[in-house]
Amino acid sequence: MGNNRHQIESELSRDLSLFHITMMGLGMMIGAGVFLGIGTSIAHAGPGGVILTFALNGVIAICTAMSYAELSSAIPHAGGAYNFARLAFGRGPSFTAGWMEWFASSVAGSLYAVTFAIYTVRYFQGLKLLNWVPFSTYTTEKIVAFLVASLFLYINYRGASETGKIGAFFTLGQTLFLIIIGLVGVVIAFIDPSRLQNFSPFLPNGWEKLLVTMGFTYVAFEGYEVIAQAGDETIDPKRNLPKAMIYSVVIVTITYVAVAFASIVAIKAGSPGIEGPVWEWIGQFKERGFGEAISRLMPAGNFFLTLAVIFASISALNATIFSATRASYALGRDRLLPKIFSKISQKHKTPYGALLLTGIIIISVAVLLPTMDVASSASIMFLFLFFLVNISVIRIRINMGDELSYGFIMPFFPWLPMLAIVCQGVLAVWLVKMSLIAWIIAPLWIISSILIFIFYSKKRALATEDEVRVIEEESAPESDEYRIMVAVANPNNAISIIRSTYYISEAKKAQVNLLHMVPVPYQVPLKDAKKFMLEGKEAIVEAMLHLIIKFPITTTIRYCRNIGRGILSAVKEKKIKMLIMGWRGKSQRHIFSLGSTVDYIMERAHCNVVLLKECGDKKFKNILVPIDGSPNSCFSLEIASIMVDKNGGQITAFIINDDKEKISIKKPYSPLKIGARIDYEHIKIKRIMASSIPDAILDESERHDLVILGYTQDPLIRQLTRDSISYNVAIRCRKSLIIVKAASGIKSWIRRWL
Amino acid sequence: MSFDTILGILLTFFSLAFLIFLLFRSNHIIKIIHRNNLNSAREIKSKLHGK
Repeated sequence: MGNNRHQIESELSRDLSLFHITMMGLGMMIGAGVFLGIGTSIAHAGPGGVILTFALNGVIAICTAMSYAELSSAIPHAGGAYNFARLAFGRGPSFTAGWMEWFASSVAGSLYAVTFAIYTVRYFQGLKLLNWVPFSTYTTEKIVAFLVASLFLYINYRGASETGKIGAFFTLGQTLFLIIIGLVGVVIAFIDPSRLQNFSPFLPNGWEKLLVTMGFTYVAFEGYEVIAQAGDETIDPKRNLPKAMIYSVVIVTITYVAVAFASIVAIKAGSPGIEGPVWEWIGQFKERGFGEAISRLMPAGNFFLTLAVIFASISALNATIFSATRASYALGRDRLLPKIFSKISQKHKTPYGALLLTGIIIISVAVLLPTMDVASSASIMFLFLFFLVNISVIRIRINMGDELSYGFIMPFFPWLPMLAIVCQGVLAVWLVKMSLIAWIIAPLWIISSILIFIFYSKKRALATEDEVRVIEEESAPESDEYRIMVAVANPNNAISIIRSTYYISEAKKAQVNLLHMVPVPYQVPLKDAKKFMLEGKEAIVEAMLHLIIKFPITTTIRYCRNIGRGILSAVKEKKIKMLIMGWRGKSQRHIFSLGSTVDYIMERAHCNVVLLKECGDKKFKNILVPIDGSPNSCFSLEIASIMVDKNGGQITAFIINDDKEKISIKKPYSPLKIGARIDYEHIKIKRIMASSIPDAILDESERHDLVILGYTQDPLIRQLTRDSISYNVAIRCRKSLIIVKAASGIKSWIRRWL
Repeated sequence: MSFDTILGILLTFFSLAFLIFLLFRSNHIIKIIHRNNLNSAREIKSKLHGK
């Protein structure tokens, strides 16, 4: 980056509107899948089954579309699933996501090129316009596939605007055609209600066949990935990307259901040539069943159907080229693949290197390989991708929801992505029945991504890693002592925290590490951030003056993008047992419970955490410790034992609403493991019954000079809707306050992972 | 009309109704976010839930 600073920077042009990207999504969805899928679905699931197939697939698709919409609005850059996985899981999984995405989209493009070629050649052969061609039908199809793929590669090279506008034209044509078919079907059913008898029996082969047809036709709902890929080129992406994703899924679902309905009512039972139930008659034609039905629904149905298939194939081809190119461009941009992938044309501002390599895959597969098995591999990888995206959206919302700037957040979080994960898992498993080779090719492609990452990309990934950087560190000799880390925020509160820390550090005979995190805005490279360091050095020096004589001390100053993540990273690296922080008494913004950094650390730290508010450097005479029998209560009592004045001081263990006296202060368990000491001599127990626990604690706190609270943690779902007891008390308490949280082992680990 | 038919029709209509509901709900959320210039997930949730 530094070497290129004086070169002219090229960027993707931002000129795709909401209409363009919605049409791109529709274009990728209404490919060959729906035209081939309706007849086959009728054959397997019956007349009602085909409608249910598309309706239920629409529900699954919108769940994943919601995940894409939320993530795209917060991270509106080219790369789609690759970018999301990078933020959620780091570079390794994200490289695999981008690699799968590139392959899946490219091969889907090959399939659409071949579909276009097959229908076009057959149509012109029917008109006897290809008699002069000296090649076989197969060779002619391959030549046409090559030509159409090359044409759309060139159109994509010309620029985003041309790509979007030409794709939009074709997509509009095919969508209008399908909508007209649906409307004609509804009108015919209204004029001749007897045709509704075609739906009886509704599910002749039972419900289990529904899953088969849903898996087969799910490819017709894979369109939001291409919209996510257009993030860098979309006007007002935070608003338009989520809208386009949701609009496109709703439009295709309604269109598919209407078209499926029209296919069933297109034929009147008992008319000439129709023997037996109508659904069986359509089903016998399998993938051609849709065409046979529509040719009887409206005049010149065959001609319009062929035209629609041609439109659908080329718009889907256009969209997949776009998507595959952007996926590989993102990998090149981040130096995970060679530089050629990130080359951008100065004239057209399109990534010509990525386009060229994508074109090689598309044309090679279209011309040389049997496409059905490879297309199934693409489907499996799309499902793996969606699986990854649905997990990413949950992880990113929980871990970074307060840092990212969202243009949209999904309703019913996290139920929608969880539903999508389960349903798509079932569909992916079903694809084994469709193509065993696909289940061999897909893992091989994923393994190749892991090998490329390990042997090529990893070194470059490390070179660009910039989340946290240690800029100054003084180490004390290594020892097995209890390690306490004190996070020092600024010179103003450094002394106050250190004074309060004094007794705890002394009681634990701990080695103390002073840490100051220097937050650096995303716009500033971490290596250029030294101007942010001065304040941190002052804070560290102030703190050391008070502690260095009494304890072995190490000091660390780190640059970071996010203070919470930076602190937790330091805690992990230095194997810290206890983290001590100051708290000013209220959140800077009302939307956080205790503050964005404090909330983050309290929820995720795997060591003991102590939060101090106005504790000074004194011992306390009257300490109130509300307890509920949890590890946090035990830890609270230990901290109280340290902070209590041994000359006449008293600790009140305050137990609320425990009428059966199940809670005891003498539990054998200690969260501190090493050197935990509770001073039972100075503890008295007080039990009360109260309707409001926070109010009872606050009333009692008036008769004490220090309150020590255990950090209460509600289940994840409940946290989203209400405030905790510790929050209610902490915000309103007027006395000195300590909030503690004991390390909770496996629960804490699961929580951090999630 | 068989049980399968009734259940199938209900499922179809509920599926489509759910899609339409999510469409309008999402549009509402996007409008609220951009009108109030909201950023973080917590800010948006607070505004949506009227806190």
